[in-house]
Amino acid sequence: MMKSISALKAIRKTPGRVKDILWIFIIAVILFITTVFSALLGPVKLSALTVFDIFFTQLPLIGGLLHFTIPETSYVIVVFLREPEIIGAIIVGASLGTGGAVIQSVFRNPITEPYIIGISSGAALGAVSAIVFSLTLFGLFSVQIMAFIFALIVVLAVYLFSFHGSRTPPTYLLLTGISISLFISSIVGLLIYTNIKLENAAFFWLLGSLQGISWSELLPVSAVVIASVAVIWSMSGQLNAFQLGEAYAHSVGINVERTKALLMGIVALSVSAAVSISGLIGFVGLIIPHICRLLFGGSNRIVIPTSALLGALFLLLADDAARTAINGEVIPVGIVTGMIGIPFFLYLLRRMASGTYEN
Amino acid sequence: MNRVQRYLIAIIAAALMITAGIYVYSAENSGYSSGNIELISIASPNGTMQTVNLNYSNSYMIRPDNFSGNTYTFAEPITKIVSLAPSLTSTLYGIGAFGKVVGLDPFSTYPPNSTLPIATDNSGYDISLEEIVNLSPQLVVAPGLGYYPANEENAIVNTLHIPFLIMNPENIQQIENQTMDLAHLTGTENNASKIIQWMQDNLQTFAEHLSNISPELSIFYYLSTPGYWTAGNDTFINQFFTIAHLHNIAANASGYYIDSGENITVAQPQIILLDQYVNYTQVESEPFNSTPAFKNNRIYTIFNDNFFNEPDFRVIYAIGWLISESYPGHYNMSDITPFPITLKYPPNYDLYDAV
Amino acid sequence: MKIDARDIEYENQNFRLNVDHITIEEGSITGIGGPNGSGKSTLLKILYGYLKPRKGTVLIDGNSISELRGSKAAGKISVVQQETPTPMNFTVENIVSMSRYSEPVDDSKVRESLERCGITHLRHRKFEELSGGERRLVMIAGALYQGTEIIMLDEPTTFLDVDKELRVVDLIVTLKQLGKTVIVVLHDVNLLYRICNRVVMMRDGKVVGEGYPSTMFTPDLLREIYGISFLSFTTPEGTAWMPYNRSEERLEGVLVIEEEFPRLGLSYNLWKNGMGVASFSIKVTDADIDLQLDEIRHASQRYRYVVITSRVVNATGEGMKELIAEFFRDGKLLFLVDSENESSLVSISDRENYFRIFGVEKTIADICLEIKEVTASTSLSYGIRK
Repeated sequence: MMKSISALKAIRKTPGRVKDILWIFIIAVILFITTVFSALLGPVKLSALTVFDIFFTQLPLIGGLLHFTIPETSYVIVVFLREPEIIGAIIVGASLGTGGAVIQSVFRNPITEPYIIGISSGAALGAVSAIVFSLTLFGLFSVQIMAFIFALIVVLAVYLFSFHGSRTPPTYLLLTGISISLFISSIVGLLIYTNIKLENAAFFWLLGSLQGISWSELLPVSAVVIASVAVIWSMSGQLNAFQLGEAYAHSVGINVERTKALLMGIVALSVSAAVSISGLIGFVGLIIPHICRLLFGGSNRIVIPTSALLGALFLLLADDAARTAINGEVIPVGIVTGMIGIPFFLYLLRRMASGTYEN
Repeated sequence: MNRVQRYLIAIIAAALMITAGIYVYSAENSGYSSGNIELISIASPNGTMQTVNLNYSNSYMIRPDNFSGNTYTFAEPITKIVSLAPSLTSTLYGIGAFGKVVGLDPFSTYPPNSTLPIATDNSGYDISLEEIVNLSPQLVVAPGLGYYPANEENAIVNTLHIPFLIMNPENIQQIENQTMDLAHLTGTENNASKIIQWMQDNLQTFAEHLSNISPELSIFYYLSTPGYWTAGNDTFINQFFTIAHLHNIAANASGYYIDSGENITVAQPQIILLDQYVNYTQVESEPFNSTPAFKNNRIYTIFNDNFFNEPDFRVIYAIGWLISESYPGHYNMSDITPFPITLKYPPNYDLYDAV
Repeated sequence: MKIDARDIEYENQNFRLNVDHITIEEGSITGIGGPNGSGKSTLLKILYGYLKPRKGTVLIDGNSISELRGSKAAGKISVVQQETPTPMNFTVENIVSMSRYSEPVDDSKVRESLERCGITHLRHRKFEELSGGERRLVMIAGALYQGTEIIMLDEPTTFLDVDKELRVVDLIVTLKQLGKTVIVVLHDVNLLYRICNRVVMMRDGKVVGEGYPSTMFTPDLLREIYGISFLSFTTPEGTAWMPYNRSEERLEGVLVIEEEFPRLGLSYNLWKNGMGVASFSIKVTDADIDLQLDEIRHASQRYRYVVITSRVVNATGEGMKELIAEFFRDGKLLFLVDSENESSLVSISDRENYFRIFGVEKTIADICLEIKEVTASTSLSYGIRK
């Protein structure tokens, strides 16, 4: 244990980009391995051999070469139940991790999640409305689409309300986001209260779940999230500059209001898309960026990609734990993220931060 | 903003438009906007096709993907069923179709001692999609969708391709219809007819024995704590009170709600019915200890919630018990006629013998 | 690169800013001074384009700053802010190279910028672990890294330790030597005077004066700007300005050094005029002059005002001249009462502030009145009592 820590410390001192790329590669590999092994978990016991056979048949060209006897039920379970859930965990985790890093940089506040700009309350309003009013105007995916649309509407409202002159000072944005979110949450509470039979459905949507995600909703969301993470990564320099204050950012050539609106818009799109299929999973956006900063340094050039990967890994592990921790129980994944995430974060903070967050 | 960023933003926009397109397309073509299915067609034992209208039992079938008709047809007799509600399991057992059941929920305790696999999580509420795929039944009957109805419905329609029948009878007539529906699906119509007749006979007896009750006693149903939770009109249990000629003091409002202490004090109920899990000590203080019910020691605890909450034929025993406790001179439990089907575990085998 | 600002009008809920015309010449250090709330920082923000005025134009080399794209403006102007929020877990190197965020990090340039600021040793330290002064130097290094011709600094010396303040001041002068155009907002009058080629003095959102500080600064102008009186001292480093509160009531004590048998009766007359007097008689004939001079030296420590007669000076020779030189260095005010019309002492100093010479034409009463007036008009109110 001590040896690996000192080995890690040695890597940390390696200068520059090589070190960054190395870390990204390592985490990606861990993520890949975890992905493969997550497919083995589930209430129905499948042999590892069967699972790997199924993987093999899914490979694009060589998949059809060899023929295995795979029971159809096993195929359905792995390909249509487990894989979308796993990929969903990765995509949602990446979206939340990156979103958290961006919001923390732009607002210069370490205690924020991407939800704070109104995504959580808007998505809740949309989803609960769809559940309570049995809306089916979007067909199968009514709840998801309503969540997505309302999340974006509320974010837009927050943004517009926080104009002070021609700027949107981060403090105003934060406060407006919190106030409007609270207001919308009361409406959601009212909706649930007056439709008490549906409180369970509403409550559990709010806690978040990755089960039952299907490929048809996952693919467009993945495209949005991956593209968003890429765009945000390319804007790491601007994100860094924002942390030194908006006046500073302006003085180094950033169009502050436009860049802020663009970043917020991309985060809103990406996180709303993720939330629409997974519900409100908390803590990932809050703590993953901090863990990455503590481990890899504060520059967004490394924090953004590692937040995406580590967020994905963390949510995947949390979902695995949620499915398997108690036999026969599926704990809502939002509870697991809180219970695992916070203590781990506190531990890491004590070990490594020594002075970083002292004022 | 450099070129790469522009391209990526274009990708996001394209993805959004494609998504919108997919949703609109699937909404138009899946026929899903036509809603759930109300008619099913099943072959009866003599080979003719029977149509069952699910409306009569307040039930519906979730429309499977790519099915656009009005009547869903089961081409073959059903031999594998998963039941996700105790009332559905009880009914299937009562009509003699339990041999076709391959999976249960954890609260299906009647019939007892079953070793069938559980197709939900321990709470009984969250459907385990994997288990259901693994059991590959031809039909799943459930009281509703679980914790994440949106996700589950999505999975059921797109992935599972297994018919889901949601059955939710809300009154005795619908219970009778549900019994017959399940009998059609399993080829046990004779048994269902006998059970329905049995229910009707006993209800008739209740009415006769209570015909000259006047005035009706007033009752307060203490459902749960904290707070004076009770059931208003429009609830399942309220119908029992009506049949039992008891006036529910909470019936001026609808649904389940928390009543006020003042209302209880003013209404002065003559009988207090405690839910199985409400402790007697709850009524030893205000506002209950000033009611006639308390003073006359007419406080009764439900012997087994299952008989009261599960919408199946066993509610007859619940109502009978309620009447025998409230109007002891007019009726007692032994007046209930024997159950017409011979079962290893008769429906009243776990009844608390209050007589 | 010249900056030309015209007809600026800006308003927010705190105040209104009105500037007719300012030009900043290339390669100069221009200071913007004035009390808090006078609009100094606001003017700076308008000059680098962060705030947009309601009316008016700011031209950088003929191009309006509001029309310059962000990155172009950043190529011309870099700014060191007054307050810098602390980012999370950044190293000094991260911060310095951030000013050119869209380019890869230029190691040698980072080193050069850090070297100029004398903080090369802090390169890999975490920014939030540094002291306020060190952070300020890091931000200046960042401005250097940005490589612009114009550097603006907003109150760079506030809240700094004295040694860091000195370093920053030296750096500002160095910047000018490197050919940069520096605009610096300062609240410290002395710094404005010392290091700026030109100053723009503001009050209540208006420019009250613009020009060379050495000609512009007068006690009257400073009183108009800051609302209090300033005393100017000449020091080896140049003129120094000290604010004080004028107080008519307090009269200070004077040390009077007369010969043994005083013929002028200075002490008596000054005392009669209501001043606190300590009198010292020098026995000129005594061999132990040095001992007496020592005693005078000790006694004089409590007094800012010393009255000496020319007779004493002549009689005591070199020792006294040394003592007088000491008095000058200590900042005391000396009054030489020249009773014998011996003007040989005038050569000691011709700085009137420190040395007032009264000739024999004046009566003793007049002389004492004048001494009293001078001490009253120059006495300071901190803790000096009768």
